[in-house]
This record gives sequence, structure tokens and C-alpha cells, in this order.
Amino acid sequence: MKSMHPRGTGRRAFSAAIAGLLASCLFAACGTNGTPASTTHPGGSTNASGEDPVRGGTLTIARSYDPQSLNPLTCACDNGSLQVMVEVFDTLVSYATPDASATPVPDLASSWTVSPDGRTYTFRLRAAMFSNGQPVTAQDVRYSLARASDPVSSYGGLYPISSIATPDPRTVVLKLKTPAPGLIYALGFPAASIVPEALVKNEGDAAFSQHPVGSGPFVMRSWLHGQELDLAPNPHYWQTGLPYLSAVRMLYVPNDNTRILNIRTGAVDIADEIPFSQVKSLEDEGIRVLVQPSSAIDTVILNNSFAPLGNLAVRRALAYATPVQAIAKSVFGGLAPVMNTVMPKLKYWNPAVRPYPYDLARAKQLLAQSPYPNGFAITLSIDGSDTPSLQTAQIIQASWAQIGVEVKIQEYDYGTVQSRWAAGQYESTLLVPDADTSDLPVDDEYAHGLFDNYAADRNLYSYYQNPAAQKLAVAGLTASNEAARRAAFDKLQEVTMAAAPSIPLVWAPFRAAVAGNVHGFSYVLVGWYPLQKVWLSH
Amino acid sequence: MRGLLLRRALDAIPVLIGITLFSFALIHLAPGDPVLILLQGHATPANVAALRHQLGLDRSLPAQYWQFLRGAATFSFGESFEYRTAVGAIVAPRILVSLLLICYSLALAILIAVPLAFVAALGRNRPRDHAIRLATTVTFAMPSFWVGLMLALLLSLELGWLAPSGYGTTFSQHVQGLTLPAITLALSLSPLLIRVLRSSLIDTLGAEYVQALRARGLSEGRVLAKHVLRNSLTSAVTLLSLLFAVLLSGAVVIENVFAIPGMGSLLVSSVSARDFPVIQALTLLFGVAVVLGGLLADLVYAAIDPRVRL
Repeated sequence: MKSMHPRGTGRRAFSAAIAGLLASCLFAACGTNGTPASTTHPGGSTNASGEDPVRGGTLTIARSYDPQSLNPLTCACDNGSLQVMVEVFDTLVSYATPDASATPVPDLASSWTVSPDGRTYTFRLRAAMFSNGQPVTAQDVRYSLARASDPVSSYGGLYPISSIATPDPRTVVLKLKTPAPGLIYALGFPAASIVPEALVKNEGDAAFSQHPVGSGPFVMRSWLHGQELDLAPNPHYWQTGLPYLSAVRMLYVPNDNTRILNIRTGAVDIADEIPFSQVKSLEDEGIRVLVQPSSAIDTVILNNSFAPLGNLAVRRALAYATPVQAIAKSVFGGLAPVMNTVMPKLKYWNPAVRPYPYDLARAKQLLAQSPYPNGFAITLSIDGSDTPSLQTAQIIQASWAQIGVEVKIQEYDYGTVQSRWAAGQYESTLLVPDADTSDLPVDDEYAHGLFDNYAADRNLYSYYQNPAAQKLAVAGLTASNEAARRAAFDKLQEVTMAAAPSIPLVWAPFRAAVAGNVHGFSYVLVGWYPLQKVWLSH
Repeated sequence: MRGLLLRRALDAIPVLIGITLFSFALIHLAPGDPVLILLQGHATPANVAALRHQLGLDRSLPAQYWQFLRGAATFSFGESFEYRTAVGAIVAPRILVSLLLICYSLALAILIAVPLAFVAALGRNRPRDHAIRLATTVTFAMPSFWVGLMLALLLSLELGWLAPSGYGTTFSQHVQGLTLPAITLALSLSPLLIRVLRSSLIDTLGAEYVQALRARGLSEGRVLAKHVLRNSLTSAVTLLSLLFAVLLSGAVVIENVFAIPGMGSLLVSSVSARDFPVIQALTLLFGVAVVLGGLLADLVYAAIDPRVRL
């Protein structure tokens, strides 16, 4: 549930009108250079070749996000900042890449053990240094994790830690309030980055966020807000020989078409957030577009306190009346898998749950059994400048009209959509497709957030309460063995899909255009790309 | 002259206060809550209350406005909600960027407009005049973001002359990076400029003193450059000072397209995030810029037309 930095205005004008125009007149006139190779690698990284890595070179990335604050302890954890934090800081564990299940692997911790009751974690730290030459000690880990697990921090809920002990400078022992098998995954999220305690205390959070110091593969060399952030290798990095690159330039290029132009002219090596509608045309031009699974969900979020939506038959009718396949094909270019659950597709994804087929007869039948046999009127708030949202909303409007549900599309800017959602001032809403993402590669965050957090935020502002689902969520979150955990999450996905507290659409994948000489580039499921093993062939 | 400037400067004060009041009212009336945007997905009542207090949004609106005014008087605009750092540190480096872009655009617009206006005026109602008038009509009708993108496709993708976007770190990189956006803005500005200048050139060319100058045997070049142009410029300068505000708002869109880290692109992102302190500082700065643009126009009048110095 990281926050997404809202992007610039004028996107609708660009994406919709211009993209079409460009594609038809100019791109055709420019001529493709005769290599229309489709080089999408679903689930893979970009080093399929198996060549030996080459050292040196500057990697230039055109990014759609501008970092806001680089202090993990006060993490707003917007996508722009997370990407920099994972390069500058280490966490106790990190996620294996390329690996669709994002298994935790040793990072600053060289090994760990978990007590049989699941409430004590003992970490052995490796000998590592911060980029200022100071050693990373158990004390630093204690300070960092105590800050991360502070309940007032936005991400405190991910770390149910009751005490942290440091029996020796290389050992850290975490005691938990309850068993939390998801914790080891949460320790790989940048909110749990290990920072140098003395330095942070000395200069304060605000100053540290401007020039962060960590033990990660890179150091931040310069940061021009709203323009460019440059990284250089950390000379003290514990993994000898890494990173391969001698410099990284992250350029902030908010406009979709300008980012694409940058990759087409070769001005940059990577351009991220390629619009779905342009992936195909780039590939036809011979530009490689990496499409990889993400932890994002795109759903029609329903406010279950809006009277008709409090009714199960109505919600199921709406699910049957939503042509998800058509949306996946026409809005997302067939690149986004159709959701068969109401949750992100993560480690405990249950493939046996059946998606709702598009069945208007069944939808009408369900509606006839409800207190709204002739339908009702409902508003759908969306970011009007986001093309996928607008197209999705229009398809839904046309389709729901056929069962008598009259959708009024309310177009706002994204800040208003977010505000109305979080304030519960909506009947139904769409977030932009890449915004609603799990921070963990396991189901814990969404199981808790959607079904076990009513007192705090009305289950992520859905006003949906389901005691059976809540029980299953808690069972999965605290299960003492893997089989019980999987069984609970399996059942949770089944139960909640049947209840349709939201209308699931697609899992939107990551899309990055990557130049041919870039190797080892891959996203992790939860939203960033580690760069220490990326290299450039000359 | 000094009296005029002083009077204009004093006139500007209520204008600027009006701008701050208006922008303050506008951002608080507009939907969208910075706290809910910042906390997206974590907006529990406790978190919301804590952040609202931390950002000072739990105080009364008059108190918030008064704090802003007091800060503005000492060039201290508080801390950005989004970047959690002093507004001054975020805004200051961007002023020069936008200023460079605007000067560059103005220079290009003048370079384009003056020769074309002359060609059109001297060849009045001939084919070249019609061609120029048609071209200005077409250019005027094209949206600037579209023109910008087309120029980028041509000059950076096809011809490879310029980088498609960015601002760089050295002065020559700045000039390179600003070239495409400046051409774009200049193209959006020049149609009006050409038309106004053309008609005022035609008026001047018909004046008796021009005939007299010619009769005295002055070279045509000297007549045109020293006398005709100078006497025709007043209306163009008036127009430019009016268009200055248009240029600033054009820069908002164009900076975003070309990833130029100026005040315009910052305004776009801070409005999206409802970063009130940054929005307030920027609107005030834009207001100051427009007022200064007007003053500058007065000075230019005085320079080209001694009668104004009265």
C-alpha cells in the first residue's frame, strides 16, 4: 500500500489523442528499421544470454517518479523514493531476483533462525560497513527496526516487534507480540532499512533524508529535486565485486511520450512505466519492453456502506456484469492477467478460485433477487487524465447499464480521487492501475488491510466487514506452520471472491523499455529494480 | 520616470496580496486533502490527526493565512508537505531555470517575428504576405504541447540534433535542453506578435515622416531599422507584456513535457500532491513575475520612445 506519486497533468491529452496520431502518421513515416522482434520476457530478467558481466559504464534511466524523501525511518515510501532507498540501503534480508515468488535471501543478515513458537527471530549480521566507513553494528539494526516498528510510523503495522535485543555486536534477537510468519518478508521492505544510528541522531531525520547514508551497493552522489538523482558505487559494499556499473543516472521524466522518445533516441538505457497502449508499437519498432508481474491490483473499489452495495446479490451481479476479459484486452493490451481473486497475486495465490465469467443473464437473475430488481444509480470516481481508468470506466458504464445499473462517471484529478477514497466519500472508484500495490510478496498485508483492519480504517475504506474472512485472515497471518498458513489464505481468497467486496479486474504488470546492451535488469514483485547486478555490454 | 516606477510598485502590493488571498482560498476550496494523499492506504483517524497537526492544518484558516503572509514577508514559506524540506530550497533553484526558458523563448519569438513582420508588411497583399498570414493562423491554432512533441520527433529522433528532454548540469547543456521548449513557446507566441507588428509597421510605413526620410535620400535599410521599426514597436511591447502571463502558463505545460525542472513543472506536481506551501509560494512568485513583466515593459517603452519619459 505504498503511495504513488501523482503524475503530471495533460496525460489524457497526450496519451489518447497524441499517441494515436503519432502512431498513425509519424511513426509510420519514420519507418521501423526492419527488426520487429517481439522481445517481451514475462517473468524473466534481461540476462538470458549467460555472458560474463562487463564492469563500468553509466546506466541512465528515465523514470516517471520523482523521489520525495530518502529517509527510510520517516518513509512515505512513494515509488520514487523506494527505488533509491533499495540501492543506497541494505535490509536484513532481500528478495531473490529474478524470482516470481520473491523468496527472502540473506542480505545484511548472513543467516537467521526462528524459534519453534514463531515468536523469536535471531539474526547473525555479516561484517559490513556503511558508505562512510563506519561498521554496521547490531546497535544500528536495533535502532532502525525500533523506529520501523514504532506504531506511529505508517508502516509500523508490518513489524509486530515487542523487543529487540543485541547480545553481541553481530547478533540481533527480535521478539514478536504474536507469531508473524510474514515478518521475514517485511524485513526486506525499505521501511526496515538499516541506517547508521549515530549519524541520524546527530543530524536529524530531515537532513538525513536529503543525503542518506547506508550500506547498500550504491551511494547517492547528487540529487537535483525534480530533475536527476545520481548514484555511484559504494566502495565499502560488503559484496565484493559489485555493483558492476560505475554510475547510475535517474532522470525524472514525468511525461509518458517524452520518456518513450528518450528510449527511442537512445538518450537513456531504460524508460519505465510504458503506457499499455504503446508497448506493442515499441516492440514493433524493435525496442525491447520488459513486462513483469507486479503486486498491483486494479479493482473497482466498492463502498459497501452505500446501500445497494451492502447487498451480496448486488455485488455478485455487478461482478458477473463486468466484461473483464474485454477490459484486459482493449485497455491493457492483453498484457495484464485477469484477477481470479480480490487480492494481489502473491506467494499464496490460489489458482483454483474461479473468476466471474461475463454473464449478463446471471447478473440480471441475481439482481432480480435483490431489493434492487430494476437496478439503481451509482457514481464511479476516477482520475480523468488516466487513460486506462477512463476506458475501463466507460466499458463498465456501458455494460452495467444492460442490467439497469446506471453508472455516472465522475472525473477528478488523482489527488481528489485518493482523498475521496480515503475519506469514504465515494460509491465506487478506480485507482490508477499501478497504484494499489502490496509492499510484501506475501498475502499478509492485504489479508490484514482488506479484512482485518475495520476499526482502524474501515478495511481500507471499503466499509466491508466479513467475520469469516477476518478469521481466515488472522489464521493466515499468525499460522505456526506453512501448511496451515497456505490453507487459511487459500480459503480466504475463495470466500472473499464469492463475496465480491470489490470487483476484481486485472493485475497490472510492470513495463519498462530496456536497451539491448543492458543485462541483469529485473523488477522484484513488490515494485523496484535492484541495480547491483546490472551491467552494460559495450 | 522614477515616480512612475514607484507608483507601479506601490500598485503591485494590493495585487500581490489579492493573489495570495485568492490562491489560498482556491487551494482550500478545491477538493483533495494533502493529508489523505500523503497517507494513502494508511489513513487511520489517528494517523490523519497526527499528520494534520504536524503540517499545521489543524489550525483555523485565518491563522494559516496569517502565518503564510508573515512568512512571505521574510521569504520563508515553511516546509513542503511532499518533500519535507524547506520550500525555499525546492523553489529557489527553479526560478533561474524558468527565467532562462522565458528569456530564451522571448528572444526566439522576436527573432522569428520581426523579420517575418517586415517581409509581410513590405510585401503587403502580395503572395508572401498571404503565406505568412496563413502560416501564423495555422501555428496559432496548434496546441503547444503537440507542437513540442512534433519538434522533438523531428529534431531529436529524426535529425538527432538535440536531446529529447532534460536540463543538464552545465550552461551549454542548459541551453541545449531549453532549445526545444523555447522554440515551442516562441512558436506559440509569434503569430500574434507578427500580426500586431505587421499592422503597426504598415501604419508607420504610410506615415508622412517616413516619406520625408526617404525623400531626404536616407538608405532604405536605415529608414526601416532606425525609424520605422522603432516607431512600430510600442504596440508589440504592449502585447508582449500582456503575453508574458500567457508565456508563464505555457511554460507550466511545456516544462512538464520536456522534463525541465522549472517553476511550472513544480507547480504541476505540487498541485497534484496538494502541497499547499509550495503552491502558495509559486503562485506568489508567478504574480511577482507578471508584475515585474509589466514594469519591464514600461522601462522598454521609455527606452524606445522618449515621449514616455515624461
